[in-house]
Amino acid sequence: MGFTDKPANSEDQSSHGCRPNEWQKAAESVAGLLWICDEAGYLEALARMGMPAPESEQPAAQVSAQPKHWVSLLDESSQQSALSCWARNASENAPFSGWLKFPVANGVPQCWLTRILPYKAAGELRRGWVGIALDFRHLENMTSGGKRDFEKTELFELAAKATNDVLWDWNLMTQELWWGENFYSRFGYAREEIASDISAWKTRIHPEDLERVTRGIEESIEQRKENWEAQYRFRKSSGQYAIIHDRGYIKLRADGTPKRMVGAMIDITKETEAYKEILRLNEEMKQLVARRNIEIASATSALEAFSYSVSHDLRAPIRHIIGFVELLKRSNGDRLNDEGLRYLARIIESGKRMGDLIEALLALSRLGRVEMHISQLNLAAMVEALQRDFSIELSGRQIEWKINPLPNLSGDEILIRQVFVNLIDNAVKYTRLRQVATIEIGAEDRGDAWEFFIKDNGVGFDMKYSHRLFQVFQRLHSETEFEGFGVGLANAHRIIGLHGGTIWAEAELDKGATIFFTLPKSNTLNERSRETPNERHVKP
Amino acid sequence: MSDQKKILFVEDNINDIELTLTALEEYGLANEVVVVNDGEEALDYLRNKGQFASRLHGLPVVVLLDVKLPKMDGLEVLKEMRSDPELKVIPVVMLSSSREEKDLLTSYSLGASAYVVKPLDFSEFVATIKQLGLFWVIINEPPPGIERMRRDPSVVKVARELLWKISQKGAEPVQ
Repeated sequence: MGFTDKPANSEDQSSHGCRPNEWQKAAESVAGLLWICDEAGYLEALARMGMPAPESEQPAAQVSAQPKHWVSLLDESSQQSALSCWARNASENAPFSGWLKFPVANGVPQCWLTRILPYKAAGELRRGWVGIALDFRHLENMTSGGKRDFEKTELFELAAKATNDVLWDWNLMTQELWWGENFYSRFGYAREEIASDISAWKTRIHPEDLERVTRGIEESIEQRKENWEAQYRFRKSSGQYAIIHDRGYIKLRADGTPKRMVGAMIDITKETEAYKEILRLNEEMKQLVARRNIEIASATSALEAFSYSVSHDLRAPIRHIIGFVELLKRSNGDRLNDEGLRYLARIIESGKRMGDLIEALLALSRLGRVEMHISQLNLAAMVEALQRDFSIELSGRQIEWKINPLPNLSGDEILIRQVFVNLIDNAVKYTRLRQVATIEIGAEDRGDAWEFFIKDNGVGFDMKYSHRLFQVFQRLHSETEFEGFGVGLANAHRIIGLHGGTIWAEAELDKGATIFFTLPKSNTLNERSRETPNERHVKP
Repeated sequence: MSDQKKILFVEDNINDIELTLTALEEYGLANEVVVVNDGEEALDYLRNKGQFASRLHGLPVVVLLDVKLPKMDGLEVLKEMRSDPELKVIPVVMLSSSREEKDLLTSYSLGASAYVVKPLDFSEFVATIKQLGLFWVIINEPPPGIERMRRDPSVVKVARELLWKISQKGAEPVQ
């Protein structure tokens, strides 16, 4: 059977004297049954309102032909008990009211609020009963738009299928709870096991979460909030708990009382586990970093202890050697021949050199602990100033400078200047034997980075030793040829590295050398920590 | 002039002691120096304790204090002196083999009067020590209660001239 478009047959309407349109209206807004029966309970009239009749039900038109007792309207399972209850009241001519189970079309029997009142028609001897059974669920549906609600339910199901979420619809008037199809498939329950009220849900929430979740939902309803949400564990038929993110929307009536709550349970078990895994990995990473930091800190403090010790303990004996040789020369110099005096001079010279080497080594070690101060650098101006300084110092020499346009970029001013100082110093030094020295400085755009070069026409070097060029205390020329400690390029190497660039050299023996280095345009520079802000201002 | 020595020199290294005293010798200041070998001895001397319990009372016009010392290092001695109401007024010159930022900062924040790096070059070393001796013993006015060297105006004048000469020489680039 389909929908009952008409509430009842025309006989019923006329027999009770209601205006047809009122009857119609009432019938459409009330879902349930209305009946009249005689003193013994046999039906005289029956109206079915706002809902389809069950298959088992005979058409109302036949009621008068074959009188039936009103309890036959009930679901078979409750007919017997209903009859005895009613009969007890009827014997005292008392009204009956209670929840009775009625069969409904295409579904499980439903409990409807039922009232049976005695009546005595005016001017008639005949007595009888008027019964009404109301389905509040349908009443709700009727008031919210009748048939369209079914379509909405269908849409609901489709939505549930599409989203894979478990949709639910909780009628706050009847307490009836409707579950979307996914509820059964996702949690593995059979329809029969699930009661159609809130208990089906509450009993499956993890005991530790239950109080919080139910309190939250109660508060939302009491405080007339529109939305509720919670996360909790929900037991599946397997006994395992799914982690659920549940959101509900509370629909209020025009007077503000909560009418209905609609929502969706989203199973976030997998996501939660993934998130936990991320947290775990994150924690592991943090610990790893912390461990590394401790290692680095201890290595750094070891290095500091070393350089402290070097600066104190190694310098003192050198000072003593120089001091006593000097004293020896003063007090007994007249007793030494030229050779003896020359030896003493050598000792002093070596001692001083040792002191300088230690100083250079310390400067390099301090460089590793430098904190960079990044600012925008005008390299053209910087190099021009350096060239001026060098030219003053080298007034006796003939040097052709060729300085190409240089970009502005960000870096540590003191450190970058140091690089140019060291590289220009080298170029000046190794072109000393040239009649006319040429030193060219320039830069090329390499996309992400600027590539700089400093080219000279000096003595150059054999490329097979180029790997030693940037190592500390490595020299490719003897000290008698060219003075130096072998830290200038090591320093430059370190500074360029700190800035995220690279440095290399190209040369040919006796044909000059070119030092190249890059500096990135964007600055993703490592901030280095160090103790005191003055430590950077060390001499190279 | 009492028997009181005017300079307390705290140094553990025998070579440094000899070189320093040699430098001070030139102006006859070596006789004004008492040498102790570690921090504890320095404090004992200043407080007339231990082996110095029977020494004449009186405080030096300056303490030349090496940073690195056995037992109690120079910085600790300085700290101890500065927290002692009797000793806090005495000028203290810290001597070090190198210019360590940390030591420099700590020394000054603890109230050192000066911090001197012993130069590697011997003539520079001698010049530095002489200047120190001349300045603290002859030129500088010591705190009240500390007896200074006899103030013969002619000596002060000579010292000033010498100091001027040396400082001019010292102004040349060191390295």
